[in-house]
Amino acid sequence: MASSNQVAIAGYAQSEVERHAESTLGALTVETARRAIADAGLRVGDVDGFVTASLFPTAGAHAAVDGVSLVSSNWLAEHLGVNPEYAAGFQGFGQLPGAVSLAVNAVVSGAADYVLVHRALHNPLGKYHANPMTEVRGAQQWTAPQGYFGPLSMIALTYNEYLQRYGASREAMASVLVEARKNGSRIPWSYWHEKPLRAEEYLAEPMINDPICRLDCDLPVDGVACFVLTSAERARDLPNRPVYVAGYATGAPLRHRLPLHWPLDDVMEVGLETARRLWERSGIAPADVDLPLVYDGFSPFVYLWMEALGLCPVGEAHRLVLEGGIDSDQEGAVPVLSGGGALGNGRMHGVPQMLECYLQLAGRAGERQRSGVSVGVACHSSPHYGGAVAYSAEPF
Amino acid sequence: MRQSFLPGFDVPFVLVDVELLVQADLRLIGRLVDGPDAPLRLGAPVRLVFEDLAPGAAVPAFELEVDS
Repeated sequence: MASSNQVAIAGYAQSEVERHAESTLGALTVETARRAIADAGLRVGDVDGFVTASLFPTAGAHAAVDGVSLVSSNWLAEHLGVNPEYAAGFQGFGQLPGAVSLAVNAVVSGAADYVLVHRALHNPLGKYHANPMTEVRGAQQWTAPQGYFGPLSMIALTYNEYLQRYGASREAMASVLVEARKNGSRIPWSYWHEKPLRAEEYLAEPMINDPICRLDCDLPVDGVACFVLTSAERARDLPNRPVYVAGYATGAPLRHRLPLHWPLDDVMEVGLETARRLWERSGIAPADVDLPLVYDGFSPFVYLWMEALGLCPVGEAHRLVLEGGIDSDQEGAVPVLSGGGALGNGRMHGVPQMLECYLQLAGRAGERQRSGVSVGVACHSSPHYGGAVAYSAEPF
Repeated sequence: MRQSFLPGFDVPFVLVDVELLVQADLRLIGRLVDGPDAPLRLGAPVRLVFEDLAPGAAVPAFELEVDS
């Protein structure tokens, strides 16, 4: 890919991840953006590009208000007092990899020199997905009257197929949750800081939509993360060690389906293609990846991404997990949730994966710093709708 | 489904993902009228029935084939 290693992350800031922040989402985003720009050794006026994916990912009846429940690039630029050369929002699934790809292309094309990528997530008051609607139109007329509505129904069907086809146990998923919360408990800004989970607690949770229980879902939160991206050349003159964007890839479903209908075969068929594109475009082989950070907004995504990335054969991620194969404290294990993921931080939509790649590869992970890590992959959303970005500590 | 995010649904209820014999790979999601205790497995044959929701409004649902 022509843009491989041409763009680097130069700095970041991450807000506290809370159930409900004291300030509005807009104010929190402005503050976090200022910190990220300063962290990169820049002034606000240096930033001439703004990119985000502003999706407010609720199915509930909540108003989408810029600066309150979501924050667009233009809103942020305006409230930082910048008239940007380039402002864009990514509309597809895999919001964070999509936003990173827009930022990379803006820098490589010369549309902007310093691009601020932000992601602002809001937890509205009231039930996150509850929706009092009594009428539907369009494609939802085939699902909502049946009671098939919202992302929990969606993932429950996919996970049910996985469980029945591959004989996965609830104990294996308990290991996923314990691992995510263990890592999240070590992260100061995480909602789950110092709150690890025991397997027994997971196993005691009642079902919401079988086989999904509350703990299989990431917790809705207020939180903001910002990253500053610039050319590799400029990044080398800035204070932090650059982390290079080696490549990115997204997938797209091959078949037309009902709304939120994600059959397991669709997910894996396209997921394997998404991964193939990532290796091809980034010039990285699966065996080169020290930190394959899988998305986990719903816990079954951990298995699906592990299998799509080729960390184990299709249908066997649950076995690897049960054998301690993803334990970040174990030598030789694959630390797919070392940054805590969404299950260990809160519903930050791909931020924990990207941030962990950045911190570890920049050597900025503090007490959690791992040795010998030079290549990471940050995944987001489902393998068949979402995307992944490969990061490298060295340009190659 | 033990919780519904839409109003008007009595829980629990069962949803099934059904491939139509008349068109391979065309899949519909509907309620299983046999209820939560019905013996279910991947690949179990079902037949189409309709549930009347309101006057003039019926939606497709499914029922397990008895001799499955």
